[in-house]
This record gives sequence, structure tokens and C-alpha cells, in this order.
Amino acid sequence: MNSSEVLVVDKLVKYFPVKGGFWRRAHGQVRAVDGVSFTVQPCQVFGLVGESGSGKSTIGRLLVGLYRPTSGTITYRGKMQMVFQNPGSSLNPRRTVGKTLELPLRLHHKGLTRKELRQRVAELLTQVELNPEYANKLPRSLSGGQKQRVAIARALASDPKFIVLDEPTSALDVSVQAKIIKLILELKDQLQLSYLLISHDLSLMRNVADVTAVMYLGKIVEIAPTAELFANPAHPYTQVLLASIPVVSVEEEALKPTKRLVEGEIPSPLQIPQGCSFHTRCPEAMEICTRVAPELLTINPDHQVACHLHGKRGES
Amino acid sequence: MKFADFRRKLAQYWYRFSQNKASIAGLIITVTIVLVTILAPYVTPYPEHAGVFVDFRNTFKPPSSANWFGTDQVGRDIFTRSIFGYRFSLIMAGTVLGIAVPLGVVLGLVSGYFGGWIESLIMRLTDIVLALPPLAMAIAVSAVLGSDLGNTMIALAMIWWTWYARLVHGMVVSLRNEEYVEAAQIMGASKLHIMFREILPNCAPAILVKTTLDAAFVIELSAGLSFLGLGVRPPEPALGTMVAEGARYLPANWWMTVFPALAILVLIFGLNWLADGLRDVLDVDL
Repeated sequence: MNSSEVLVVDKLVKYFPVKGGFWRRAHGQVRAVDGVSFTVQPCQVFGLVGESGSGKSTIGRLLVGLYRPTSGTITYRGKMQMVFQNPGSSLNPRRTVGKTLELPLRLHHKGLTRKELRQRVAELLTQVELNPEYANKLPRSLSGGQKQRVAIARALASDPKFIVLDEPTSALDVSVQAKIIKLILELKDQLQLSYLLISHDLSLMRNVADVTAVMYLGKIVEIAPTAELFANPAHPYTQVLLASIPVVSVEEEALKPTKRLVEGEIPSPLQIPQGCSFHTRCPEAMEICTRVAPELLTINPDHQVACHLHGKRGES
Repeated sequence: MKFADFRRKLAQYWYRFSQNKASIAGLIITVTIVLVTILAPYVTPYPEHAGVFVDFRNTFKPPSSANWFGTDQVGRDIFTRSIFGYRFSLIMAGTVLGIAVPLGVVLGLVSGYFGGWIESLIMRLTDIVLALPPLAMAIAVSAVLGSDLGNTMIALAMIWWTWYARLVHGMVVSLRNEEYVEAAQIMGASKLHIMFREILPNCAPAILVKTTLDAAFVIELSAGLSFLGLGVRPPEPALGTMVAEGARYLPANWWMTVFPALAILVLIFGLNWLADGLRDVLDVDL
């Protein structure tokens, strides 16, 4: 880790054994994350997009220690916290908001008096723009957006430097999503935070992420500054993903890359295709793609892509 | 929670509870019986009849204003003895469940949360113990260790915990993957905190409802045991023993059997209705 980065992920691998049969023997493995490397700079929003099953949530869980990596390393500064996708189940229904927020305070700032605890809880609630009175409420009486604010306050309680946001808005109403995103970005500037934003929502990525990585079956297939990625998508998968964003205006329609939509479902991570894992659905698949898995190659400064179409250019 | 919030919540609970008339009846019956039993020496007409007492002028009296439930073969008031008989039933239920519920809940929590070989060990042990019928087990223990109230209660408790271990284990297995449990893990909360403060409160309603239902079960079983002559020894009154004694004087002196039997019935109904009401209020699926 050099002096500037807050997070360095190096060749991260996570396989899950698949058990079955009478003796529950492992007879295969799901390659959920298969050799992923990236770095995050301070105050950066690092976006991770991909379909469900691409391994993006597994990376989030590996970062905060909910899963242990099969191999590879994760290095970070300070504390790491997480905001979950579903605010309904990320708050204990039997604990008041105040009790939920007190737990990380107690664990990370030992020796706080009751009064100090209450005061910190009130500060945290104010920070996420909730009335401090909410400390006495149970999650049941809060709206989805309010619950997500509490979840954010809980993540902030232990003074982290880095927060994993796992689909933080996908369970919320569209009108609430924008407010939560605004809050998240304001907190980032205020508290000098870095985020790993996991989402399948490309419009959200375009608006929020500084750098975006596209994942497919456990691997990063393309990674670039967000503006660059959306302007010049290099990987056929990124291109079809971008083509799948619904457009609402003529101007957007004009900007949209014309690619036909990808066919079929994402293959099972139990049986990842040989060679390039995307060749079964790729509109530009070549003979080499069925045999050799492409490496990530730098095609522009900061822009890397794993595709044989660009590999040829790299060789020549 | 503020007092006003607390009152509002209580009012909500009461509203849902009172939607069902049987729940209210169950609550009234259970509370009345428990109070009357605790105050038995003060509220019964002839408290001295609970122990060794004979009054040969008043044997086999049918129900009257002086003896509501009639008298038995040595002239004791059946009403008084029925109320005192509840004591045995309630002590039995309290002790058996007082041992079985905490034991089963802790074992269920541990096995469900830790998984692996601990889970296999506890749950297989549970399966084995579940295969023993409680009545047969109680009879066997009494036969070996002597027919004694303490032995009988321990025998039942040693079987009863299995139901709670299973119930809680099942709930913990599904709750341990909830995101709020993961959030507590990320924050570095201890395993004890996660088991007892995050997971257990979410199992509590189901445990409470099952305990209420089981109180009725244990009382029924203890009546059966004392009917068979296991449990308290005469002259201590137990409802099951009274039914058994009265059966010898059927059908002429029917009140000796019918009233103690009805007393058992009323308490069991009361507890079952109360459990139904709690289930509605606490939104439990058992």
C-alpha cells in the first residue's frame, strides 16, 4: 500500500464449496470472486456494477470480514463499515434506534457515560438529518428511507474511513433514493470518507461513482474513470450493459451506443465457461475467446479492459 | 421508550388481544386461579381441610351452600382441597418449565448460532430425548428413584427442554443470517451479545406462547401422574389424586370426581385461550 490509497485489494479470490448428497461432501465450488484487484483513493467513490451473481456483493462482504477470502489480500486504513441493501432487515426489529446506535458507540469508544452516549446518538441522528427524538422509536414505525438513514448513522458511529454501500438505494422508492444519495455524498465530503458502491443501477453509477469497475462472473472485465467508461466502453459486455439503460430523452438516445441487447441469462458461477467467461453471450466472440481467458490490459491511462478485441491492439 | 409511547403500545396490544373473547376469558381464568391459589389459606372456607383432617359427621355430603363441591370420604371440603390442589399443578408447571425453558433456549441458541459439530451434537441428543414419551419417562424415574414430587419434576424437565431447543434452533438458523446480525458482527459485537441481545429477543414471543401452552400440558400430565399415584402423597391435595380417590365412589358420590376434574379442565382451557390471545398479539406462528 503506498501512502495515498485507503484500500488495496490484491488478487482476491473467494470460492464457496457446494455440498450435496447424503454425506454432504463438497462436490464442486462456486467461483464467486475469481482474482480481483483494485485500489481506492481517499474520498473516492469506487463503483462496482454487474448483474446479480457477478460476485459484487461477495466482494463487499469480504471487505468487511463477513467472509474470509480463499486467497488474496485486502489492505485498508482505519475502520471499515457497511450499509446493507434492505433497510427493513438491517435493523433489529426489537431494538430501538437509540439502542441500535449505542452498540457501535459502546464498542468503539469504551467508557462513555450514559449521558454522553445519548448525546452522541442525538448527534448521529442529526448528522443523517433525522430528528433526535427518533432514538426512542422501533424500526417498525420508520419509513424505508428513515431506516436507511439510521443504518447510515450506525455505520458512521464507529468513525470509519471506508464504507461499503451494498445496493444502498435499490430497496427504496425513487423519490427517496435521490435524497439518500445526496446525504451519502454530503457525508463523504464532510467526513473525508471513501465508498465502495455496489449496484446494478448504471444511472446511479454514472452520477455517483468516480471510478467504475464492471464485473462479470467473479472477474473485473473493465475498469475506468466513470466518465471515460460511459463515453468509451471498450468491453462488449460493458457496451451491451450501457445499451440496456432505458432512455427518456432524444438527447440520451443519440448518445446511447447501438448494440443489441445481450441474450440469455448469466451462466451459473458453478460452471463458468472456458476461456473468456463472456464468450457464450458475446456478440463479437472469436475462436480465441473459447480457449484463452483475456487479461486486464491498459488501453488508455486509467482505462483497463479484459478482452481479446483489445489484446490484438496491445500486441501490435 | 417514553411513558406515552408505552401506553399507546399497550393499548394497541390490548385491542388486538381483546378482539377474541376467548382470550379475555383465558386471561381472567388464569389470573383468578393463580391469585386464588396463592391466597388459598385466606380465601378458602376450610383451609385446615387441606392437610390431615377428619370429620366423620360430614362424610359424603353432596354439594350445598356450606360445601360448594360437597365433601369426601373423611368429611373434607372438596372446594377447599381443589383450590389447594391447584398449588401442586402450578408448582409442577412452574418448576418443570422453569428448568426446561432456559435450558432448551440456551441449547437451541448455541446450536443454531455456532452450527457445525456443536449443532450436530445438541440436535442429535434432542432427537434421542424426544423419542422418550414424557409419561413413561416420569413413571420410570419414579420407579427407580422413588415416587417423589421432586423426582417427577426433574424427570419431566429433562425431557421438556427438547421442544425449546428445537423451536429456538430453527428460529436462530434463519435469524443468524439477517442483516442486523451481520451488522453487529461487522461492528465487532461479541458472540454473547449477538446471541442474547440481537437474536434472542426476536425468539421471545414464540417462546412465551409455547411456554403458556406447555403450562397447560404439564398440568394435564401432572394430573395424569397423580391419578396413577405418582407425585404428591396424600394427604397433600392434588387434583389428579382426588379424581382417582373419588372414582372409587362413583357413581353415587359423583361430586368427588367431577369437581376436581372440572377444576383441571378450567385451568387448561384458560391457559390455552390465553396462549391463543398472546399468539394474536405477538404475531407468532408456531
